[in-house]
Parts: sequence; structure tokens; C-alpha cells
Amino acid sequence: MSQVTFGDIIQVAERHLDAAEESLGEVTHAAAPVRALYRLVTVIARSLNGRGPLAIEAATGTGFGSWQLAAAHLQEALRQAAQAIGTASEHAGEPGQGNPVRCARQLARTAAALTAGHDLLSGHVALNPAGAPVDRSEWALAAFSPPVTGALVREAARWASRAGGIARRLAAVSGPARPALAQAAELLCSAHEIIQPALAAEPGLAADRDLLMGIPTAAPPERRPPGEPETTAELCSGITTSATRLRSVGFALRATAGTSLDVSASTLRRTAFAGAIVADIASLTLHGLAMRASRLPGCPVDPGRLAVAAVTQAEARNAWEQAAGLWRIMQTDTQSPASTATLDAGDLVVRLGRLAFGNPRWTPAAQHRTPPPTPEALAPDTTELVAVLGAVHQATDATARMAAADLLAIGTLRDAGRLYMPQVIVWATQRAARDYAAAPAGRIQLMQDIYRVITSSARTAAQALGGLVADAGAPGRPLALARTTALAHGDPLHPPIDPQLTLDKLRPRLRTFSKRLDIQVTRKDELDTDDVIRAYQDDQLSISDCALRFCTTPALISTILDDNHIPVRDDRPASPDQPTPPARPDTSQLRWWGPVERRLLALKVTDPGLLLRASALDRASRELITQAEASVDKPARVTTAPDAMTAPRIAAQDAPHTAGVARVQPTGQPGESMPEASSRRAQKHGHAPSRQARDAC
Amino acid sequence: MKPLKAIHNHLDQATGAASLLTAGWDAFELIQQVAFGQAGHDTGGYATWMSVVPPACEGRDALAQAPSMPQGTGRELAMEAGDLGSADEVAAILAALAARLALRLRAKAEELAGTGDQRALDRGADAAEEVRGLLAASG
Repeated sequence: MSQVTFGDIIQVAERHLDAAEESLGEVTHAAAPVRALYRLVTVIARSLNGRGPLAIEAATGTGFGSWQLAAAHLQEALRQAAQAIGTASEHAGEPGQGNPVRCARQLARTAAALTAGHDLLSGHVALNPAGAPVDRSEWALAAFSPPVTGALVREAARWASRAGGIARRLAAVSGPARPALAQAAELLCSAHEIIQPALAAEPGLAADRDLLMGIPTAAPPERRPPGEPETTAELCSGITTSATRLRSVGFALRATAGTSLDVSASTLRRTAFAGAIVADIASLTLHGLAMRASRLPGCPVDPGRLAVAAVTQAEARNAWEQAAGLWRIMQTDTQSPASTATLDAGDLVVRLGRLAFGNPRWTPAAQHRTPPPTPEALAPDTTELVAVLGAVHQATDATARMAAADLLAIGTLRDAGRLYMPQVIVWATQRAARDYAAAPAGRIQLMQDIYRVITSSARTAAQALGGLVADAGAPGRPLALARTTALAHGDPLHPPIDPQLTLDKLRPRLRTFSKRLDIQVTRKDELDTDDVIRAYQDDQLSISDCALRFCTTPALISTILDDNHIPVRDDRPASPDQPTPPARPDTSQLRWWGPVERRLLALKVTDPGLLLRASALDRASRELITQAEASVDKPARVTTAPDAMTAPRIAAQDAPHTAGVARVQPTGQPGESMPEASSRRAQKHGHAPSRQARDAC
Repeated sequence: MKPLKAIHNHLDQATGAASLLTAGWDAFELIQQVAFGQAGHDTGGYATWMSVVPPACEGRDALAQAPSMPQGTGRELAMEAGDLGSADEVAAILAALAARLALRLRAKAEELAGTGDQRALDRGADAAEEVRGLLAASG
């Protein structure tokens, strides 16, 4: 069973709304449907929480994206419509009258489904004990990205229009409630008009909606160990499950690696070996798919790109293999061999092997060894080819994420002093190989560098496949789109990696990893002079960094540079006497008191939080008036600097978050809780005003 | 440095816990080194050989934790397996070694029930059985 996605829930909501519209003809008394419609419109409004600025900020109209403003304006219209429907409800009589059960029930179910959809998106973030937003899944970035916000606003506008149609129909049978319902209908039906400026500025892509609809629940699916032989579809589904779980484990690992007993040399070793096997099988499979795609008429997948992806996978395998080799030597203080990650990685290996070798009972055991199938057997038709491609993409993406998580885990293990190596290597003494000492920093650094190379090559492989999957519409397209979105908006889980760091450059250091410290210095005749010169001149490494890269002494590097008449740079650190850049001018005295702040001062209010909020209101008002004056003088569109900050933001930057200051709920109806997580998540990624700004307003 | 035959002999002749632990450590170390080397040569068996290394390392490390493991005997890491033949032959040799190892470690664990060595020996036996299962020509 695959994970439920936002799109799945929206489909359910669509079915209920269709049924509600069909049953409108049965309604003779509108009380119950009107109440259900009120709930539905409220839910649609709530789905836009945290997607746009607050009303007062939106009123200034500066510093926000077009879809953020559209979200704010649409939410305001929906809130006003809900108020009108609430008024209508008071005049529509008691819900028990007439026979409105079916319509009201379907509207209520629609609202429930949309609530579930909203909760699914909000579930990707949570609040930590300090109240700060924390990503709960790797989908959090995509779920609150500008493209998804745009798609969600367009979706909300569509729902609002349909709700408007229902309000109009109900108005006909609602007696004294008719004027209020008609007003609500007008507001709701204006939804498309409201988002028109955003549509004109940024039309959005079909892919944005696909990404929104493909966002899954934050909770990973249950583990499904491979057992009895499965069909290709079942294998692909199982691979997706294991891949999703691995990504989830990798995400969680970031916070717990230092203390978790689940993280040990044994588990990291097992995942490294599994990573190498997955990359090897993936490379083999992609070669087969490339050959098949070249022979399949009308195949939507480019064989050339498949072949390139296969080579990239082979590079990832080589890097994984090196890490696996190092884990044969390096140790941790604990030795738990099994963890969630190792189990899921094992499942992934088995299912991918069964898919790739066409043997439903394949395991890594020698007795199940099977020669690779012919390309025709691997993918009999285009549908299967695309399905297999989707599965390989899932596996590759998961191992890329696993590598990134393992890299972070190694850093945490290093900081916790949990990494060890045999004494015989570390101290060159005739001690038993089974006696251990703390791993030297240089060896840990090498391990981390290897994982950086793995992360880089595995990510490159995943991106190559992601492009193919997105273009071919293969399963896992939302994942590929999410990766593209994350890449465009700075994926914190995949920080940029030095492109100069390659496996070839690490090889001299790798050769010495298991050598004793006293015999590991690379001799001059073992060094490639050109490599050294390139590292010094092209990569701009210092002499000591060159020595570290080539496992030799700085003196030897200097000798090589001297022998080849390479001018030596002055790599000494800058003198502490160098002048420091001038400090920013103190603007704390440049104050402007507006009418609200002056009134508070007159009231002898000293609470800094209240005063800053007053200041924010004054500045926002002034800016709004300035903008309005400009638009009256010159009807042309008022332009502002793209990075201009709104007054509330400026005023709120240093606003203390005092407990005594009551927060104004930016959205929501009476009695409805604010989904803070989604709102703050959007703030965190810069798509909505800061928390202080909200507090200040 | 010990060749395969010496490790086999050592394993067969070990009677006390200390000598069995040492022989077991050598056997696991040899298995992991040979398997890792084979992965680079036997492309058709890449998954098999790569899967053998983790349990072999775990068995080795489990035995190293046993209280009766002798300390400071001046052991080197590198092993000399010599030419063991084709990939299938190597697999058969290592499977036999792992089977023997599992048998000896399990028997000693039962003999030392309740001691600190038992857990290490049992974990070593589990790892040896996993290696044997991966390399055996039939289940």
C-alpha cells in the first residue's frame, strides 16, 4: 500500500462535492446545507493559512510574491464570504426542517476531506519546544515552496468558485437568508478574478499542481519485508515503500546520530555496502533500459540519457565501495548491526535485485545468482520500462539521501568521540589489531570526504533519473519535481558540495587509510607532479592543504613547486592588524512616532512589545497612504525594490516576544485554532512575514 | 600473516576459549578481506561478495569484545589467502570455513553458558552462519 497523497484526498473531496451539487435539486429548506457550506468555506480559507501575508501587510502590497498576495486577498474574500454565510445561517431556520440531509452530508464530507488535505500539508512541519518551526519530513520544503503555494491558491480559487455556485443555488430556497447568501456567492465567485493579477504575473505550471497533488503524508509507510514472489508492480511499489522509509530514517537521523545506539559502525557499514549494491544493480538495469529504449518505437525515454545515468550510477557505486572499505576498519563504541535503516536498505537491495534480474526469488546469496535478463525481458513494453525506471529512480534518490544523512551522522559521531580504529594502524605499535584507539582526525576527515563524494555522485545520478522520470511521467514524478523545487530554493538537506572533490583526488589518501601513521607519507616518486601543481594553482589550495590532499609533507609540496618554478603564494592568514570594515551607522536615534504610537505613549504605555506593534501599524499606514497617493498621481503600477521590506517587518525586526502581549490571530474564524506550524514554516522559508512581524501586527 | 590452511588448522586445534577466539578472529578477518577483494573481480557475484563483508566484520568485532580474547599478541591486519581458485571455488572454500567456524563457536558458547564469552561467541556464530548462508551453493 503506497502512501496517501494530497491528490488522493482532493479526489475524495471532489467526489463528495460532485454529489452535493447533484443533490441541490432535492433541497427545499436551506438551513442544514447552509451550515455545512459555512464549514466548507471556512476550511477553504484555512487552507491558505501561512501562504500569504497578513491583511495589514497585504494592504501595503510590497515585498511579497504575486501568489502570496493572491493568497492573502483570496483568504480575505473567503473569510468575508464565511461571515455572510454565517449571517445567512442565522436567518435560515433550524437544520431539522425539510429534507436536506444528502446535500448537507456531502458538503460536510467535502469539508472533512479538505481539512484532511490541509492537515496533510501542515503535518510536514511541527513546532519545537521553543516554538520555532521544525521540518518533520523532507517534503516540508516542497510543501511550502512558492510553486506549491501558487498551485494551492489556484486550487482554493477553484473550490471557492464551486462553493459560490452552491451558495447561489441555495439562496433561491433560503427565504430571509437569501440576501446574505447572494452576497457570499458573489464573493466566492470572484475568486478567479482575485487571483487574476497573480495568474498574469506568474501563470504557474502544470507541474506545480502535480507536485502539490503528489505530496504524501509526513509519516512513512509500514515496512513490507520482501517475501513471496511479487509482480513487477508489487516490486516497484515495495521499492517505493523502502525508499520512502529510508528517506524518513535519514531525515530523523540528523538529530539523533550522536546518542542513538542505532547508529554504529556496523549499521553504517551495512548501509554503505547496500548503497554500493543498489548503485551496481541500478547501473546494470539502466544499461538494459537504455538498450531497450533504443529499440522500442515511440518510447518516451531518451536512451542516451539512460546510458549517461547508468555511468553516473557506476561512479556512485565506486564511491560507495570506498566508504564500505573504510568501514571494515573504522569502529564505533557500540556494535548494533541492525537498525531501521539497515532493514529497509536490505529490503531495497532484494526487491531491486528481483526486478533487475527478473528472478522473483533473487537474494544476494550465491545460490540465487542469476544472469542479467535481456533488455526485452527486463522491459517488455514501454509501460514496464517506465515503471522500472521509476523504481530505479526511487532507489537512487533514497540512497542519495541516505548518504547525506550518513555524512551528518559521521560528523556527530566524531563530535561525540565515538569513532575508533585499530591500535596497530593508529600507533604503529605491535599491538593486537583488535585493540582500538580513537580514530585520528585525518582519517575521519577522509571518511567524511568520501561521503561527500558519494553524496555528490548519488545526487547527480538521482537528478539525472529525476529528469527522465519527470519527462516520461513515470511513477515518482512528484518526487522528482520536489527535488527540482528544493534545488531551486536551497535544499538544506543537500548543501552544496565542492565539485573539485572527486574520488580520483582522494585516492592517494585512500591508499594510506589502513597504513600505519609512520609509513603513510607518500614519497616524491609516488606523487603526480601535475596533480600537485593543479591543486596548488587551479584549486588554490595552500601548501599545507596540498600536503593533506596528497598525504605527504608540506616540505615535499614546496620542493615540487620549486622544482617546477611555480611561484609560491603567501598563504599566511591575514594579520589581525588589518583594518576592519566600518560598522553600520547607528540608526537607533532615527525615530518617527506615528499617531498610534503617540497615543500609547500618551497613555504611559512602556511595554516595548506594544510600542513596537504600534510603531509597525503607524509605518504600515504611512506606507499605504504614500502608495495610494502615488497611484492617484500616477495611475501606472507602483514599483518597489524587490528586496524592499515592509514597515511592519522593519519595525518588528527587534520586537521582543513578550508574554504579556496578546497575539492577534492572523486568520481563522471564532473558535478555530490557528495552524501555527504551517504558518511559521512558511515564514521560515521566507514566503511569509517573520513571526516577529506577525506579532508586531 | 596466516594463510588459509593455517587458519583452518588453528580453528580445528583450538581447545580453550582464548585460542578459539583468536582463530575465529583470524577466520573472520580472512573472510572479509577475501570477499572484498572478490567483489572487484567477480562482477556477476558483486552483490554476494559485498553482502558477505558486513557479517564477517561483525563476527570479527564480536569476538574481539570477548573477555577471554588475548591482548597484545602483535597481530597484523593484512592476511595472505593465496590463490584460492575461481570465484565459485573461493565461495565454496569460505562457505566451508564459515560453516566450521559457526559450529565451533556455537559449541564453545554452549560450553561457556553463563560466562561473559558466551554472548560474543553466539554473535560470532550468528555472523558465521550468515556468511555461510550467503556463500553456500545451496540452502
